[in-house]
Amino acid sequence: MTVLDQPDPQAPAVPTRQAAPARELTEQERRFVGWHLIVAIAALLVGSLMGPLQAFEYSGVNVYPWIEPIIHSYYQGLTIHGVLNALVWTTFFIVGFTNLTTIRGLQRPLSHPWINKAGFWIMVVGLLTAAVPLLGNQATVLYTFYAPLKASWAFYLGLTLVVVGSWVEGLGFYLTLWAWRKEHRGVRSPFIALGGIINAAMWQIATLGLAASILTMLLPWSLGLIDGVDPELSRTYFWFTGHPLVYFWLLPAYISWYGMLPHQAGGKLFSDSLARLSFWMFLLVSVPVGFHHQFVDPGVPQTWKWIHAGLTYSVFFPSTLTAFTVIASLEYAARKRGGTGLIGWVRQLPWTDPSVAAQLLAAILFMFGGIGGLTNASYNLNLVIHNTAWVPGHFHLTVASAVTLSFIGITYWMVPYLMNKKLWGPRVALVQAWVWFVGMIIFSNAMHVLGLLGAPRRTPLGEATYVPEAWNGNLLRVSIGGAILLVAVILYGLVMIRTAFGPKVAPEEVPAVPIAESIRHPQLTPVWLDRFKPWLLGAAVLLLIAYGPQLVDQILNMHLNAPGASFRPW
Amino acid sequence: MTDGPQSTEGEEHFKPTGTIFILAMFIAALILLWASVYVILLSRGVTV
Repeated sequence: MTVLDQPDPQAPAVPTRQAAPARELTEQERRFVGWHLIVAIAALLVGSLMGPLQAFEYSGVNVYPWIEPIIHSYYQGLTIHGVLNALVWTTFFIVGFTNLTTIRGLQRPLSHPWINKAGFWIMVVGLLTAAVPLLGNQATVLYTFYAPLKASWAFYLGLTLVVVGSWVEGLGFYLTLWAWRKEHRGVRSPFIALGGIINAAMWQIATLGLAASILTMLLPWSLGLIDGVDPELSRTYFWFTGHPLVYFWLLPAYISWYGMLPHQAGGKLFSDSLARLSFWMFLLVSVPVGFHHQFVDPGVPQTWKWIHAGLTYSVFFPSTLTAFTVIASLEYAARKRGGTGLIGWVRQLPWTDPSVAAQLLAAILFMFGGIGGLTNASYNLNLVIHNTAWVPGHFHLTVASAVTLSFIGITYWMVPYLMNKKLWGPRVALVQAWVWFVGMIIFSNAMHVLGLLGAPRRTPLGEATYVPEAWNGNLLRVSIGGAILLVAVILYGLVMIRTAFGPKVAPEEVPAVPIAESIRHPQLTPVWLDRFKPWLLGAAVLLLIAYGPQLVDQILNMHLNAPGASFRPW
Repeated sequence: MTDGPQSTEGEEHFKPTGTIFILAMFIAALILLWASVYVILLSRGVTV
C-alpha cells in the first residue's frame, strides 16, 4: 500500500458505494444558472461574428468599410472579438457552470444564494458598463488593454465589476463548501464541486494583478486623475492575471473531462487522486509564470524570465497528469464497450453523441495547443514566434478549441437539462462540432505557419505593403478556416436557439447531469488532496518568491510617464 | 437506497496500455515539432 492509498483515519468507513437519489437542481436554481449561460452564449455568438472579419481581411476581403456605421475599424472588431469571446463568454459560462457543479456535486443548495445572485448582477452591470465604450469605439484597446493604449474609464470600471462579481460568486461557493463540510465531516468533497471551487480560488489570486493594474493606474489615468502610466508595470500586472486566466478557462473543461465525460462515454474516472492532485498543482503553479509573456520586455531582468520559464515548464506536470488520467478513463470506457487493440478502442467511444464528440475533438486540438505552448515558454524559441501570427494560432487551439469547443459540448446536455428540453438537432450539433474542428485545423495551422514566416499578429495584413509571396497561400487558408468556423458558429446558434424555444419534454427525456464515479472510492483518496490550507499556503509562498522581488523593484522604480493620448491606432 | 456498483478486482488493476501508447506518440510529436522550431531559430543565424 502506498501513501496515496492511505485512508484518512478520522474519516467514516465507507467501504461500499451508496447510490443515493440525486438531488437535482430546483427550477429556481436552473433558472439562475441559465441566466449565466444566456449571457455567455450571446457573447460567444456576437463575438464570433467578428472573428471571420479579421480572417477575411487577411486575404484582402475587407468587410469593415461595409459595416462602418456599426464597427469602425479592424481594431474595434478585433477588440470586440477578444473581449466577448475570451473574457465574457468564458467568465459567465464558468461561473454558471461552477454554480451547477457546486450544487449538484455537493447535493445541496447554495448556503447563501443571495451572495451568488448579487455576484451575478454585479457581473451584468459590469458587462453593460464596458459594452458602451466598446461598441462606441472608445475602448479599442484589444482584450489585453496594454497601456499606453487608452480606453474610456467605463471600460476599465466595467471589467473590474465583472471580476468583482465573479469574486462574490466565488465567496458563495466557498461558504457552500464550508457548510457541506460541516454536514459531512471526514467525507471527501465530491470532485466536480471541489474542482470548480479550486478554480474560483485560483482566479481570486490571479486577478489581484488585474485589480492592481486597473485600480492603481488605468482607471485613475482614464479619469484624468494621473497624467500617465508605467507601461512595463501595467504589463507585469496584466500577465500576473493573463496566464492563469488560461487555466481559469481550462479547469472547468477539465472538470468535465475528468468528472463527466467518462460517464458520458460509459466508463469511470481512472483516478480520483490524480484528478485532485492535478487541480491542486494548477492552483500552485499557474500564477507565478507571467514573465514568460514578457520575454522581450526590456524592463524585466533575464534571471526572472528564466525563473518563470522554468515554472511554466512545471505546469507541464499537471497537464500531463490530466492527459494521462482523462485518456485512461476514456480507454477504460471504450474497452468496456468492446474496444480492442492498442488504439483501436478509440473507435468504440460514443462519437455519435455531439456532447462527447465536441469534447473529444477539443481535447485532440488541445494536444497541439500544448505543444505550441511549450514552444512559447522556451526562452530562445519564443524569440522566433513572439508577437507573430503564431500566438493567436496557438490560443485558438486553447481558448477557442479546448475551452470553447468543450463548453459547447457541455451545453449540448446542460441547456436541455436546465430548460427541461431535448437537444434540438443532435445530428446538426454533431456536424457543428466537426465543422469547428476542421475549420480550426485549417485556421490555426495557417496562423502557426505565418508566425514562423514572420507575419506579425494584430495587423490588418490585407492592407500591408510588405507581404511576401510565401505568406499568400497561408493568408488565404486563414480566411478559409475563418469561413468554416463562421458556419460552425451559425450551426451552434441554430441548435441553441431551436433547443431553447423547443417544447418542454417529460422528465425522463431530459438529460441528467453526467457525473462519473471513480474506479476507486473517493474516500480512499488521501486527506491532503482534500484540504485547501497547504495548497493555498504553498501558492502564496511560491508567488512571493517568483514575483515579490521583481514586483517590488518595478513598483519602487515606477515611471508614470506614458500619456497615451496619441496612441489611437483606429 | 440501493447498493451501487463496487470496484472489482479487474477495475482496480486496469492497465491503460493504449493511453501509454498515445502519450508516447504525443511526446514524440512534441519533440519533433519543438525541434523544428529550434532548427528555424538556428537557420536565422547565431548572435553572441
